[in-house]
Amino acid sequence: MIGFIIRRLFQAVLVMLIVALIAFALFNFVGDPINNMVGQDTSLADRERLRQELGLNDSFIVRFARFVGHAAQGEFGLSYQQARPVGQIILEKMPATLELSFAAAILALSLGVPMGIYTGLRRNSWGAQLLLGISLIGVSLPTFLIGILLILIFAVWLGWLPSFGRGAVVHFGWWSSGLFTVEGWRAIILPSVTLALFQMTLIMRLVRAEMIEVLRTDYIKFARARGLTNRAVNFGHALKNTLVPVITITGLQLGSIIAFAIITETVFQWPGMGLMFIQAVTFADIPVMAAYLVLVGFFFVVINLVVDLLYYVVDPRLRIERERAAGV
Amino acid sequence: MSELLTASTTATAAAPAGSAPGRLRGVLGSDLLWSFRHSPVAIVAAIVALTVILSAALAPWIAPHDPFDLASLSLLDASNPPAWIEGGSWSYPLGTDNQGRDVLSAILYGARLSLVVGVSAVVFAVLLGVTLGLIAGWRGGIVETIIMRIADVQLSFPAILIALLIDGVARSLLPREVQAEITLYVLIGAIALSAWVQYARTVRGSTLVERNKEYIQAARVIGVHPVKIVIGHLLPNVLGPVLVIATINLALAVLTEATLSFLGVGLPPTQPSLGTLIRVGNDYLLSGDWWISIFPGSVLALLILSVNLLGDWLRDALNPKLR
Amino acid sequence: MSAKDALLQVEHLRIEVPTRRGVLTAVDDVSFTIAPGEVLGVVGESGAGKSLTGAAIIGLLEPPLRIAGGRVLLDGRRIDDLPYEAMRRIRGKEIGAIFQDPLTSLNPLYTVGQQLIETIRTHLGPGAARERALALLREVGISGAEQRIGHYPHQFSGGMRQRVVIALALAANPRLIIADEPTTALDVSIQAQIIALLKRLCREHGTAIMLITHDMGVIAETADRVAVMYAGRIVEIGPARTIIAEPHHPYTVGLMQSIPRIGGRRDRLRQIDGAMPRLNAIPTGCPFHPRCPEAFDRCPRERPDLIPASGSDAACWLWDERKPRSRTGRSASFETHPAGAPQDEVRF
Repeated sequence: MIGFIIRRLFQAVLVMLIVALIAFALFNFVGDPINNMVGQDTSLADRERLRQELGLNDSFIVRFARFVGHAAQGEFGLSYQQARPVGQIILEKMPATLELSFAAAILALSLGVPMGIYTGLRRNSWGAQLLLGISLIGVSLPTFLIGILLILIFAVWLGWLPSFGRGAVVHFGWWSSGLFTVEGWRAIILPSVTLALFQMTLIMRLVRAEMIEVLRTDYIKFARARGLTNRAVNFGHALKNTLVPVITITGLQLGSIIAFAIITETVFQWPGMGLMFIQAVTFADIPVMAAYLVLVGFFFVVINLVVDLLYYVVDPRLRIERERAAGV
Repeated sequence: MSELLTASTTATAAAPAGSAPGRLRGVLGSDLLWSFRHSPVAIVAAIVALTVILSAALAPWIAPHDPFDLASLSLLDASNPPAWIEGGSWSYPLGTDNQGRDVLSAILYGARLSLVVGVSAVVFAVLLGVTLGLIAGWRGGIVETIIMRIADVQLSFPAILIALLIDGVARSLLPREVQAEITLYVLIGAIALSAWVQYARTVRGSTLVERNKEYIQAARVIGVHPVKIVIGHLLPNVLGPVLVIATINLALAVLTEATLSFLGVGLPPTQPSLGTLIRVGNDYLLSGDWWISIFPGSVLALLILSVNLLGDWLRDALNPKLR
Repeated sequence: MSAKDALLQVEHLRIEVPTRRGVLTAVDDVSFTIAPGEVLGVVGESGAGKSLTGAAIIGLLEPPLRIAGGRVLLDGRRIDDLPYEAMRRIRGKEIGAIFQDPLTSLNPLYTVGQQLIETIRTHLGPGAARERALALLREVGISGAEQRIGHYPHQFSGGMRQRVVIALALAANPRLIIADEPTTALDVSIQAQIIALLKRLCREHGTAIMLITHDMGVIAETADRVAVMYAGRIVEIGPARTIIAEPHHPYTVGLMQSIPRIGGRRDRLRQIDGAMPRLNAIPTGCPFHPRCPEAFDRCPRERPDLIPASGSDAACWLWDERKPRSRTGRSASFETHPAGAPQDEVRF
C-alpha cells in the first residue's frame, strides 16, 4: 500500500515537472523578457547588464531550477500587462473561480448522478428517453452558447438575473466571497448552471452506461436468481458496483470544470482566473500564462492522484492483491 | 444466450472467415444500411447535417450577399432585424449586423470555415493518432511505452485546455504580421493535436489484439513486409471504431473551434467562423439585436447535434455486442 | 410417476426471440417433468436451448427473449405467468439456480458472508442469519468458516468459489435447483468434488436438480433421468442408465459413440457430420435429418413427437409402431471422419 502511494506520488511530481518545463519554456523562448521590461531607448550595454543581473545568462538547468523554486513559492514575476506581481493577481482571482467551480460541481453531481441512475434502471421509459434526448443537446451545445441563451432569456428578456459580474462581494483576508449577499447568489446562478450543464449531462450518460453494463453481469443475474428484492439488487448491488468506476471518472471530469470555467467566465465577465488567462493570451502576457499553466497543472495532478488513491480505497480487489504482493 | 443471437445474425453476413476487408465490406453492406433505414433519428440527423454541410460548401454560389465585400455594405441597412419582424426586409432574410453585413450570408461562409477547420482537424488527428497507435501496438517495447505515456499525460488534461495552450503558444511565437494569415492552420493544428490521443489508444488496443491472431502470424511467416501487414491487414480491422470516434470527434472539433473563436483566440472577424460571429454578435445581445448571435448559434448547435446523433447511431450500429 | 406427484412440470414450452430479421424460435415444444428429489440431466451442444429452458423456468429470460407458449407448473401451480414480485418470492426459496462461472457469479465488492446473510435474511427473516451462514459454509466443505466468512470472492480459489455459490443457492432450502453448467469452468480435478458435493447436499436436503451440461460424464455420475436436446427440442428422454447403455435416437447414438473410450479398439474418433443448425435455418420435419445416417423419406416431411421406444422416449420415426423399420447395425451407422468437418464433441 505504501509502495503504491509512493509510486503515484513520484509519477505526480514527474508530471508537475513536465508542466513546469513547458511553462518555463514559454517564459524563456517566447519573446525576450528584457524587451518587455525596458523601453526602446535602453542601450545594449544596459540591457546586457540587466540580463546579467537577472541571471538570464546562466545555464538552462540553473534557470529552470530557479524557476521551479520560485514557482513553488508562488513567485512568477511581474505581469507584462499590469506590471503587478502575478502571484497577487492570481490570489485575487482565485476565489471567484473556486466558488464558481464548486457550485457547478455540486450542481452537476447532485443532478447528474440521480438522473443517470434513473435512466439506467428505467431504460425504455418515456422519462428516460426524454432525459437522454435533452442530455444529447446538453453535450452538443457549446458552453458559451448555453451561457448566451441563458443571458438572453433570464437577463435580457425576463430581467430576473444579472448578466455579468459577481454581484456584491465580501472580503475575508485575501479571500473574497460572493456567497454572503443576495446579489452574489443571484449573480452565481446563471454562470454555475452554464458551467454545470455539460458536466451534468456527461455524468448522467456515464452513470447510465455503467449501470446498464453492471445490470448485465452474472452476479446481478445470480442475485435475482436468489430472489433478492428489486431494491437490494438495484441499489445494494448494481448501484454500488456502478459507483466505483464512476467515482473515479467523475473526479477527473470535475477537474475539467476548472478548464471550462475559462469559457463561462468570459461569457459572464466573471472576474476569475479563466478570464485572466484569456486576457493574458490575447495580450501575450507570458508570466500570467505560465503561472496559470502551472497552477492548473497542479490542480489536475492533485485531482488525478486523489482519484487514483480513492479507487484503491474503494475497490477491495486492488487492496488485497497489493497486500498479498507485499507479503502482508 | 447471446451465442444464439450472434449465431443467427452473423450467418447472413457472409464473408470468408479471417478475410479482413471482406468482413468489413460485408458488415457495411448489409447490417449498417438496414440499421440506418430503420432508425428515424439517424435519418433526420443525416439530412440536417448534410443540409448544413452542403449549404456551407456551396456558400460562394448560394449566399445572397458577399459579406466580405466592404464596398457592397451599406450602413443604412445596418442592424436590420430578421425579415418577419417589423423593420426587416426579405433581401436580408435573417437580418444584418451593425455594419450592414447580411447574417444569412455570413452564416453560410462561417459554417464553411467552421467545417473546414473541423474536418481538417479530424483528418489530421486521425492520421496522427492511427499511425502512432499502429506503431505503438505493432512494435511494442520502449516505443509503445513512450507513446502511451505521453498519451496518458495528455489525457489527464481536458482537450480544450490543450488546444488553447497550443494556440496561445503559437500566437506568441509567431510575428504579428504572419499571425492573421496562418491563424487557420494554427487552429487546425491545435485542435488536431488535442484530439489524436483517443485514436492512438483505440488503435493500439485493437492492434495488440489482432497482432496475435493467426492470419497475422501467417503473413509474418510467409515473409510479407511488416508495413504491408499493418496497412493491408491490421488497418481495416481497426477502422470501425476509428470511424465512430471520428464522427463524434468532428462534432467536438467544430465545438472546440467555435469555442476558441468565441474566446477571441480563433478565427478573426475578417475571416469569421460561426464562433467568431457569435462572439461579435454577443456584444449586441444586451441592446436587443439578438439575431446577430442567435442565428449563427442555432446553426452551430444543429450541426453539432446532428453529427453527434449520427455518431451515436454509428456506434450502436457497429457494436458487435448489440447485434 | 404421475403428473400429480411431479414437483416441476414443463408443458410444450416455446421460447421466441424477435430479431431484426423476424421471429426466431429458440426452444420449441419442450415438455418434461421433474419429481421431488430427482436429478434430471439436460444434455446437448451449445445453443441447443438448454440454458434458455432453465432461465425460463426460473423466470429470468432476458428481453427480447420471451415465453411464447406452453406452461411451467410448480406443484401444479402455474408460475410462468406470475407477476415479477410473486416470482421473486419463489426464486431462491422454491427454485434456486447456479451458473457456470463462479468468479462472475459473486459480487466482488461484498464479502461472502454479506452475500450469504443477505440471501438468508431475504427469505428466512433476520434471526440467526450469521449462524446459518457459517453452517452453510461448513456444509459445503469450506474449512475455517469463521474466518472465511469475511473474505471477498477473489480470495477464494475456483472450486471454493463454486462451493460458496452452491451455499448461496441452498441458503433458503429450495426444492429445485437449476444448475447451468456448474462444473464447466472448473479444473477437471475439482469438477468431481463439486459434483459429489452437489449430489450429497441434494440427497440430504431432498432437493431436485435440473442439471444442464454438455458433459456426459457428469450426467452418467449424477443423473437419474436424462433429456437430450437438439435445436431447441427434446429428442430423447428417459432413465440415465437406459440412454447411456442403449441410446435410441440417432443423435444420442452419435453422442455416445463420439466419446473416446479407454481400452477400446484404437480407431479414428467418431464424429457426427455437420453442425447443429442455426436458428434461422432449422430444417423442416425432423431437425436432425440432414445429419442422420438413418434418415428416410418421412424424416424431412413430418416432425416427430416423442415416441416410446423400449425404455426411453425418442423423437424419431424409426420407432413409430405404425410403420416399423428395422434398425441397421449400429457400428456402421456413422462414418469416421478426418478432422475438418465441424464436429460435436461430448466429453466423458
